[in-house]
Amino acid sequence: MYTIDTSTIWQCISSFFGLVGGALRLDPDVFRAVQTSPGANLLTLLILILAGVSVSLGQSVILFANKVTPRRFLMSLLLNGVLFAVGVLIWAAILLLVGRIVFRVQLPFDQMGREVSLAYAPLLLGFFVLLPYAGSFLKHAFEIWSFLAILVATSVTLHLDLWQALLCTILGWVVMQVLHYTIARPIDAVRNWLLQETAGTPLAQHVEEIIDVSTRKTTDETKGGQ
Amino acid sequence: MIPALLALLHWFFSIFLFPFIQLLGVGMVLLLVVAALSPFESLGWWAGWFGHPAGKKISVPVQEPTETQRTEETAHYLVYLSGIGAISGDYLEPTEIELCDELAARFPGTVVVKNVFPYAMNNRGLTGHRIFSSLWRGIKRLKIEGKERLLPNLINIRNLFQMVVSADLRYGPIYNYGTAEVIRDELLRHGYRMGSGTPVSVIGYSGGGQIALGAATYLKDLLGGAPLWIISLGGVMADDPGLNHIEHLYHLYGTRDPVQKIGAIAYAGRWPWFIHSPWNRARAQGKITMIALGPIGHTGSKGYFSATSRLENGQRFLDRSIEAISEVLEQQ
Repeated sequence: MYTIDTSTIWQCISSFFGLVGGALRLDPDVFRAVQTSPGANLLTLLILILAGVSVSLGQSVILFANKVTPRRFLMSLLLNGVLFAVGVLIWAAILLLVGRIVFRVQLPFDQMGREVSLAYAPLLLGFFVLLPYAGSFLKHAFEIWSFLAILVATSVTLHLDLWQALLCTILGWVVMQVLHYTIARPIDAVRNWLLQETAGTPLAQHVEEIIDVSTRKTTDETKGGQ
Repeated sequence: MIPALLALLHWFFSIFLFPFIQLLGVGMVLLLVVAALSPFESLGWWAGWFGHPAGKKISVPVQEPTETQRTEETAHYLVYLSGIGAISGDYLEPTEIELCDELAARFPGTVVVKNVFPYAMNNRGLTGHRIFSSLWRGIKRLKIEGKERLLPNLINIRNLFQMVVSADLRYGPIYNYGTAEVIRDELLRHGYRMGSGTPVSVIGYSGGGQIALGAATYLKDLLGGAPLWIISLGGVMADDPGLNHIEHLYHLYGTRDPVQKIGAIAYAGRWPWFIHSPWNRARAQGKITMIALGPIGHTGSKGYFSATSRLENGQRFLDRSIEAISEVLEQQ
């Protein structure tokens, strides 16, 4: 049984870990508990933003490679967390839309938002993607784990069996991809601009290219100095 | 009888087993966190958060030329990179020093560079200016005195993570650029003339094999186009892109050394069916030579540096390693 109580800071922490633990175990009861608790809005949003920050930390090599300062590094992590949360809430809206059109299930957005947000709890472990050697593998493992949690969340929230939930998720993913390659392009441009402004530098994407440029620069300087 | 036995088992589990498992779990999580943080040293160095910044202009004081250098022109540089047990650039095991000195004596036109610490940026040994330097100094003392066998493993774990960072395609470029700079700076201190084309060989023992291979990607350019050879002594290596930048890799291994096989097992690019990996392409081009040294292990009294164990012909293991490296150097 999951209790969601945000009246004191300790209750809040206890509820947070209770929800995260339940989501990591893919326990349908935790998603049922969240469904009927509007008080879980804050906690699930916190889970979502922290998951975004954790994932960004796990993939922060690109920030280091671009020589971002410590202050801007922290700001970039936070911004990534917020942008991640916005992306997931759009994803929740699309799932809700698919559920409404295909499975005729009416549901308020905040319920779906809470469920999908909680399903991203496995990505709280995203900073382990930093692990050398195993990190790249873990990234995929966490994504699969989170996907399974979304299946459970969709199934519980929209009262679907697992196959229907899988269909709903796949359709949602297709819609997301169509949006990504059409109307989302200007939004992506704004997102990239925001990330670059926060980092304070154009974020070159390939570490090898950055190092090659540095090697050439050092070699040229050395030749010039001789 | 049975209830008493169950009660005893319950007591045993709750007093010993469960706390032990919990402690093991906590230990594992701590180890994972430390491993996850291991790339930060090189990443932070690259970003300019600490240490001397990357890509700095070279301003290294050149050491006084040795007697050898005074008498004849240096034709070749040999850099020695120690294994994951290394603690700083200024400390090597006596038998490692013996190997380096013997090679220097056998090849008079060769300058041997043996003070590179390959597991940190800026050649900053663990006992140098670091937050935990006093801890590492204590461990170094215990290691030298041979009083404690468990704690020195912390050095191995710390350096092992750095070696894995070097082999990781995400962090490798930054880490390997850093170690290439460290090697370049030490070569310059030993009188290397930039752009002279003087050949350089790098001996990498154990984890040093991977570091040597990783650094090769950038070292050639940083030295102004020097031809590079890598000699791995029981090296644990990934399928590093550095293979595209060297003349040849010689992998010397003991037939009783299971550690050197780890690279071939753990890194998919070394599996034979990935034919386009840097490793398999280099093999197909004939750039990799595997040389078995005989029934030698990885470390300790049965390892490559053992001065006490002998082969059937009476040769010390250490001498066999020196002989094999010498044969490789003569071929170049």
